[in-house]
This record gives sequence, structure tokens and C-alpha cells, in this order.
Amino acid sequence: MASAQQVRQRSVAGVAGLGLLVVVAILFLIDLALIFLWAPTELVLGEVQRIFYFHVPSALVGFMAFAVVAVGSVGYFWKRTAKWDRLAHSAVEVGVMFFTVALISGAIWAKPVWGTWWTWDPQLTTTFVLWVVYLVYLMVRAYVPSRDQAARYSAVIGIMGFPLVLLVYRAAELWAGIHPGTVVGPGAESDALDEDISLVFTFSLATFTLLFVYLLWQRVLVHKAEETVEELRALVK
Amino acid sequence: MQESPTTPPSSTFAPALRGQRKLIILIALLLVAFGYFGFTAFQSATSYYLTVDELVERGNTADLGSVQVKGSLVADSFYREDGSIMVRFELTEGGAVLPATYEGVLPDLFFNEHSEIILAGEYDPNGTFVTDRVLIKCPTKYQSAEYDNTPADYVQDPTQSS
Repeated sequence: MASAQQVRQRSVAGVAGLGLLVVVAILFLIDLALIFLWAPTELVLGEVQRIFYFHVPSALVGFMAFAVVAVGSVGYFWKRTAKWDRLAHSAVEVGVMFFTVALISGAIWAKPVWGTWWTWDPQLTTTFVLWVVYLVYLMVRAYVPSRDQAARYSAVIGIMGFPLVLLVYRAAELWAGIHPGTVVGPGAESDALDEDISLVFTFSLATFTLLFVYLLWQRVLVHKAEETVEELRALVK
Repeated sequence: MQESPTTPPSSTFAPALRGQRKLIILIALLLVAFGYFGFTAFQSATSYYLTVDELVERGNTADLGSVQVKGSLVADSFYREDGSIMVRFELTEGGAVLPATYEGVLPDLFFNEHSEIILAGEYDPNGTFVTDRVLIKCPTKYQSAEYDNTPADYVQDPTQSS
């Protein structure tokens, strides 16, 4: 049973969580204002280029999430504690959500610019495969009956899926396709982004990252609570 | 808060679990095998498009089937047949020029000088590319439209394109 100290720790975590949520909400309002009111209209693509500030941060945060999954999976094989498994599982759930946003916003952007919602370009194809890999992770979690087995099988996917992240990141450079090359991070051209565009993008990426941190943290707490409920249910039986 | 291990470490590789461990290794091997297979298959089929010079060099042989070809629009080559949606234009890249026809609505960025155009269709025996689908590859750099506060007028009149 929870001691007085644990109860205190939980209420501190609750207040901190609420505080972070408020900060993220305020940053998001500023981000929206920057994107739609302040950011310059792009020279070639016009207004539709503003999707960039949602599309690319979502994809990058998805990559971050999958990196956390790899860390959690390795940690699980190393320590064999529920903590690492919980981290990996939560990161997949949050990461898949961000990645889905990236896929959908990409399709919305592609229609007016490329002239199609979807095409089997190398970067799009590898992105789709990556998305499916982490959906499979979630299916394994759902279908394998024992927690231990689910944790181990999914940790294998969590580790093996990560090299694909690096492949997706560089896919547009590795194979000629329709998707633009890397514009941010290692491997990007230094002048790929205009100064103002770069500023708004950085702010947007920071906001999305903080949202990711918040969601991941809360998801881990919910997983923990779910496990406590399961334990108590087992005691009652 | 005390973390309870999901399995006591000592029992992790107990004989009873050895079968599962084998299964994990099997899954891992299968993933690697499929990954390798997928990668090699992908490598051989990565020509998402040919460039104009590559296509012209290969010639208009029938066995190519449906292909995608990338190039940029030749200035002043665009021509629309009166009272129809049939258009004729030429693409160029690497010194080669490819005449093409297309029937349909063109994407917004077709006439933009920064755009690279990808045509999907068939290379006709008489040397014309019969286009089924037009895609636009846009630049990797994003710049602000400094001299223009209105939305960038990216649909330029073809007769004025330089």
C-alpha cells in the first residue's frame, strides 16, 4: 500500500504535470500565432508551406519517440524491470500518434504541391514501413497474453526498428524521389531554411518536443496506474 | 517507489523459458532476413523516375512500359490545343529534350521556374511521351517571398514564363 511519502510524491508529480500542461498550451498558442501571423509566406510554395511547421516537427518528434523506444527496449533486456518496458511501450504509443500526424499533414501538403495525396517515393515508402513496424509493436502488445512475453517480443521490435529511423531520415538523399531532402539536422544544407522560417521552425519543434515529453510522462503514469489496478484485482481474486 | 521486476532475473533464462528465447531469436532472424530482402528488392527498384536524358538514351522501346521521367519545362514549349484540355510541352534535363502530351488539369506549380516536373506515362514509339499523371517536385530550400506581401502568385501565365 502507498505510504504517506508516496502519496506526497504523487501529488507533487500531479502539480508538476499540470504546470507543464499549462506551459505547453501557452507555447502552442504562441506557435500558432507565429506560424499563421508572423512567418513569411514561402516564395515558391506560397501559404501551403506553413504545413511545414507541423509536418516536420511531428516527424522529428516521432523519430525522438522511437529513439526512446530503443533505449527503453535495451534497458528492459538489461535490467528486466517493468519501468523500462513501460517507457518503451508508452513512447511507441505517443510516437505513433505523432508519426500519424506527420503522414496526414504530409498528404495534405502533397496534394496541392506535388499533385497527389500519396506516391511510392523512397522517403514515403520507408516512412510507411516504419509506421507499420511500430503498429506491429502495438499489435504484439495487444495479442501476446503474458506481460513478460509481450515485453520481450516487443522489445526486439523496439530495438530492430530503430535503424530504420535513420534510414527514413536520410531516404530522400539516398535515393532520388519526389520528397525534398533533409532541411534540418545533420546532413542538411546550412542555407536550406530562410532565417525567419528557421526561427519559427525551431520554436515549433521545441513546442512539439515539450508536448511529446508531457504526453510520454503522463502515459507512463497511466500505465503504472493500470498495472497497480491489475495487481489489486489479482489480490481480490 | 519500489520497482518490481516483471520476472525474477534468475528465472529469465530458466529451462522452461528456453523455448521462448529460441522464438525471440527466430523472430529476430526473420526480421533481419525480411529487412535484407526488402532492402535489396528496394535497391533494384529505386528508380522512382528516370531523368529525361536517361529515358531518351534508353530509347522508346516497348518493354519499358509505364515509366516516370523527371525534367524541367522547356521555356516557350507549352502549347494548349484550342478548345481542349490537351497540352503539349517539352521537358529537358542533361542536354536531352523530350516532347510530351498530357490531357488533364495541371498542378499549380507546373509553370514555376523552380519546379522539377515528373511525368508518369509511356514513351510512345513516335518519340512523344504520353503522360498519364503529372507530379511536381519542389525545392529543398524554403525562402520567404520578401518582395511580395500577397500570397506568392505561383501560377504564372505560360506565355510570360522566361
